[in-house]
Amino acid sequence: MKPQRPLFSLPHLTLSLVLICNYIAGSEALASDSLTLSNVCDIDECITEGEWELGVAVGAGVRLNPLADGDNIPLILLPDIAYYSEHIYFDNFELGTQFLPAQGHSIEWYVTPNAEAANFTFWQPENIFLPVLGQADNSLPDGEPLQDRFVSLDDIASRQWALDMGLRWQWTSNKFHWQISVSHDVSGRYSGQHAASALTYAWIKDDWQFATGLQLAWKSKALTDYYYGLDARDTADSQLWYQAKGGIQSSIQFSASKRVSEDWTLLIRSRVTRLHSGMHESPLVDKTSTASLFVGFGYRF
Amino acid sequence: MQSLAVLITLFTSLPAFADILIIEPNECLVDTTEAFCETTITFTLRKPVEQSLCVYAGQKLITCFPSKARTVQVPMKINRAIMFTLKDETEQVISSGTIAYTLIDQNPKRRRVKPPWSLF
Repeated sequence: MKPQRPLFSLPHLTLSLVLICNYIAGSEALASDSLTLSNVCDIDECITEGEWELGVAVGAGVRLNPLADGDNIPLILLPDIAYYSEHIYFDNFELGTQFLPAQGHSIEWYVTPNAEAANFTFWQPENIFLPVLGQADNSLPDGEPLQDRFVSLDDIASRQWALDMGLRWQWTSNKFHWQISVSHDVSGRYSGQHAASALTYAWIKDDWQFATGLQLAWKSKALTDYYYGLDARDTADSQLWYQAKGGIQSSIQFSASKRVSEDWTLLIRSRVTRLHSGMHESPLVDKTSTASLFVGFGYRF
Repeated sequence: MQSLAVLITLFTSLPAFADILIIEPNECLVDTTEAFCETTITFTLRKPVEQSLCVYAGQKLITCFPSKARTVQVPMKINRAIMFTLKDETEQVISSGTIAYTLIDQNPKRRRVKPPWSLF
């Protein structure tokens, strides 16, 4: 039997914070004479070609780990490393080439690490409790209750980091930003694909820059099953196996930043993600949603 | 931003001839540091003056105004901001003006493919 989830969890609180911040900042934006992002490079998300952008954010934050008994990922120091030449770029561990076919449009072809393995980097359980699958009432045929089965960490095969190659199209106009991406594992880890589409609304109010957005991400069966399935690599007991399905998960995010000096910027980043059923029905996962929150100051070298 | 605007402006303390010297052009725009502007500088007296007047850059004589002339042109190569002084025959400064040396940011800005500090 999976552990009971608390009535109010950090994802619920983070979602509430996201919605409240969106309401406050959004209503201010609608009612005010705030500046519009008429130039796509009026905001801090722009970089000068041929120059390195190096920074580090210091603050307090956490990213929830959806794994059962998984340690939440602390967010204390966040690096920011970027370089853009005319066609090649490196942006926080994404290496790619960019084409600018028209004003406000860009197409990127890139390679980047797949972040699913990060959950397993902060996962050090001794035992996880797994229900016996296929039993409707978790009891033996003669009616005797079934004892919970468990698998130790030693039995679970390690989940490796994967490298994705992807193609992304982005469009920016005034306050809206839309992107679509598709990615494929080129490292042979999960041998699958994933795709995402995100719409972001950004605006400026006084000295603050706000952005809020919605993302839908499709994770293939191969991707989900590699990380969150259980099979012969993990245990010889086939009754404990779980074949994960692919699915679509949704995320809502809110961010705010304010330049407090030439080098320092106040940052707020938050995101809530609803996991798809193929993932949260895995015995390895004990949450239906996850969240991240970071508040701190970013410094530009 | 990388653009550097170096402006050095000094004015003389004699109100009767204040701002009598006009310098055109009064700015040199370059796209790399230590680049030169090659141009013809036009020095103009805002009103006719009976005295014999000359233009100096520091202690170096640049040109003098011919008798009754109000305008004189000098070809120059400029790689820094320059302050010119207008002096009479007793070498007393009666006016001044500057040419600014400005570095233009040539590299365009691009929107990053994802927001800064976006590791999660």
